[in-house]
Amino acid sequence: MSRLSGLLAVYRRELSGYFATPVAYVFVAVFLLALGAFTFQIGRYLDTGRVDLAPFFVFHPWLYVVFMPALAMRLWADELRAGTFDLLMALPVRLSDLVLGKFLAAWTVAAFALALTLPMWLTANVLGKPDNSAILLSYAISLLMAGGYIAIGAAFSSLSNNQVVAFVLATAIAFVFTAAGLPLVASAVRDAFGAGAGALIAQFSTLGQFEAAQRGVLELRAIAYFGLLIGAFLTLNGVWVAGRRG
Amino acid sequence: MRSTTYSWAIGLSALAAFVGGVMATDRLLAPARLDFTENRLFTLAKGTQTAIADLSEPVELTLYYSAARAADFPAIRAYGARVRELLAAIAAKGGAKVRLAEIDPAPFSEQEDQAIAEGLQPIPTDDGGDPIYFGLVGRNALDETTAIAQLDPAREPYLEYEITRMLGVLEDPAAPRIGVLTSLPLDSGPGGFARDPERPGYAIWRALDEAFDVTRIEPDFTQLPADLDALLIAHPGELTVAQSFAIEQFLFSTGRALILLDPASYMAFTPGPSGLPSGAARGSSALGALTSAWGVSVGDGVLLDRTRALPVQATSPTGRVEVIPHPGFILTPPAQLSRADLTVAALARGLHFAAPGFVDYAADELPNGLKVERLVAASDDTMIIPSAEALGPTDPRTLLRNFAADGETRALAVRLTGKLPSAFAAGPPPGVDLQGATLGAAQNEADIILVADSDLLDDSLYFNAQAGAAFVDNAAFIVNALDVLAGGEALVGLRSRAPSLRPMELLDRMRESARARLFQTQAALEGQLAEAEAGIAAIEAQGRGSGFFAGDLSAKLTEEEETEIERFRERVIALRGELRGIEREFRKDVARVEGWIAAINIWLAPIGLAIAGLVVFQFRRQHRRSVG
Repeated sequence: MSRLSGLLAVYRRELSGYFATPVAYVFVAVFLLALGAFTFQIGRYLDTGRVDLAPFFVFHPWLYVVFMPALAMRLWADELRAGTFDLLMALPVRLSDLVLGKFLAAWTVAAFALALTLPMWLTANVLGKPDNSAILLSYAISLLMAGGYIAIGAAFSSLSNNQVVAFVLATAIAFVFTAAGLPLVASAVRDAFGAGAGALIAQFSTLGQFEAAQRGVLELRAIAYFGLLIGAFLTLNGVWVAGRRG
Repeated sequence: MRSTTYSWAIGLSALAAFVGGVMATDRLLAPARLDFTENRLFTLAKGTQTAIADLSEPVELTLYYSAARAADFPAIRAYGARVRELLAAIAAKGGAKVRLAEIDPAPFSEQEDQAIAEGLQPIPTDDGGDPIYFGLVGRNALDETTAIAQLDPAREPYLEYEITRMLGVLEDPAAPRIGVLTSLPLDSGPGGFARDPERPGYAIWRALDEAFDVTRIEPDFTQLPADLDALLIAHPGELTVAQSFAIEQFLFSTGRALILLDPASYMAFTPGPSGLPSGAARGSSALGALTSAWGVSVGDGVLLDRTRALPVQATSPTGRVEVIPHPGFILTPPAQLSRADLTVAALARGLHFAAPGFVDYAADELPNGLKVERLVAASDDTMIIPSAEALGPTDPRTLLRNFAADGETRALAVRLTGKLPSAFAAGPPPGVDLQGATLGAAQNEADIILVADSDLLDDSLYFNAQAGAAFVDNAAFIVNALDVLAGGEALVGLRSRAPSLRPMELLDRMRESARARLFQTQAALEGQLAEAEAGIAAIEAQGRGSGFFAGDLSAKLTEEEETEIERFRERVIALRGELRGIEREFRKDVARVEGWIAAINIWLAPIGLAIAGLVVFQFRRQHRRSVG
């Protein structure tokens, strides 16, 4: 079996797994509902009087904290619970392909969810003349960021055969990675450990890394950050899965 | 066992690689940024890049920004993002030379005290909450500071300019030196120094004095100080040939001047200490040979503008005082100002002129290398009258009666750039005291702003002395222009930036038309209301004033009169109710559309997805059944 076909087989199996049950539909529908409600009710998009989608993108990291671990929690925990884990390990597929395939399937569902927010973009274009290239960039980096949260969720999914435990752990870690960028946290850390520590903590936050993209500026370091985040947690994922295999 | 150790090692090194990688890339890749915004909002202008490159010592920029408080104010929040990004771009470009810090001053904190001590002014809010600080403080290696007290979203076109200027000031903190050559009593004011010794002079003089190191050039000057950063020539008196030559020499080397020439100056005839205007006062001014060498001139004659005429008080032939438009006093609204040039781009209130001339030039006949850009234009409803006529007593009624627009759109102010040709091609004029070497040709590119009016400096045209505030932007224009000109290479090249805030035009239009409808209906209803009320009053007056009971206020009204009044009263009540209803209706219309937009965006996709999911499962179940 060639390298790619193994990966593709895993990917296809996982993706159809999502859509075989109502899980993906319910998940995406609730995500869209929450995002819409946040944008219009809490972000008060129409009251801003501006067509830029700032009140829409600003909630992405926070919704990802909850929704991406929820999306990824079944990836490994489900296999462990159902006892298909050992079967999976016995397949002639490399461990890295298993990890990557499962991750990509979840990421695809996230992309699907993000694509369904298209009415928001259309609305902005009906209301006025938004900066569409800047919005496209925000979408792209948001998707990359979603990948980071999914990688965290996938890694913790392999730690427990209980999806709820996996979800809670992943959400806690995802929250730490997000909240580190809050001014509240940054200033507390700064006061306790000095200015350098405050800046350092903020560097590791998805909020800070997503900030420039929301304004239409692509930062190479943000791409590097999310790439490293995905890489690190997928590696952990692989290590933990390998550990379970014994 | 070995494999567990091995996997732990991999796991730990993955984490270490992540931490190290983020720290390294955060530093290494910080300057690697790509601006995706349509108007390149965050791409630094060349002038800014020069200013950063010119820094000889590191500077520190501290943004004071009450971010948490600003979150409640969408306009400030959006502008906050804009400012942060521009500062990030500057810091990325500057590397070690520009250090950036951000402080969110909590109320009653040490940081708030610090913000106030640095000269920051909180943005007032109408909700009575804590103040919002949003300002920038620059500090250089010598601990000298300069601040932008308030970053106002309305001043967005100036944002990059102001920050670049800040870098320039930190590098060289001395205020720019401006030479002022004028025959107008700018420094003494009307009535001379003695009239108001506390605050002498015109408002514009005080504004210049505050912003610059001002040197007054004496009327009998033979040479201009060499260390001037820019020259302001405002309605100069009669210049000798030698003086014109000295001005040309200055322009050849420094090249920066704001020149106000006027075919008809009221201000020149301002009474002095004696109660009479100075004997040397002249109604018109020109630079003669100089401007004609540049291919521009302030045309002979005064421009009248019918569309933009300002209302003035005038006595009618019957002796009544009326307010009527005077085409010699004109407003140029922002729409008639250049949107690209920083000197005028953000003047939101426009400029007032009094009996201005116009700048005359033929764009295709300019001397080699010179470029003229229009800063301020008059409307296309103008005509020219002789200067002498404008300086005499004018009756706006006569001017308007005889008005015949010639359809031309003329320039009231232009910006002239390039290498100036000499007006003294044959060499220095005889009799010139040649101190040191003279320049035969321009050394540097000149940047000259030429305005065809000097009366715009007059307080009465733009400044409310009682309120101590300007009502149009005449002074802002003059100060901006000199600031840009005196700012050196980095600043003169900066252009106005397109605003980053994009309005919801659809809703704005809807509100606008709903408001127009509201006003219309309101006016109609109010008319009817007034009519009805007048009807009541008339009947009451009639009843009391008629027949035997004339003058008796307690006299009874007849029954018909009572019914009539009752009818009018009912009408008044109904009309008032209708008026209130219209206002409610007006809000409802916009609210309904907003409700639809929100509902579609919140519910459409989830419901569509739910339906799609149901259909898919139904289909699958049937499929499974038929297979099974």
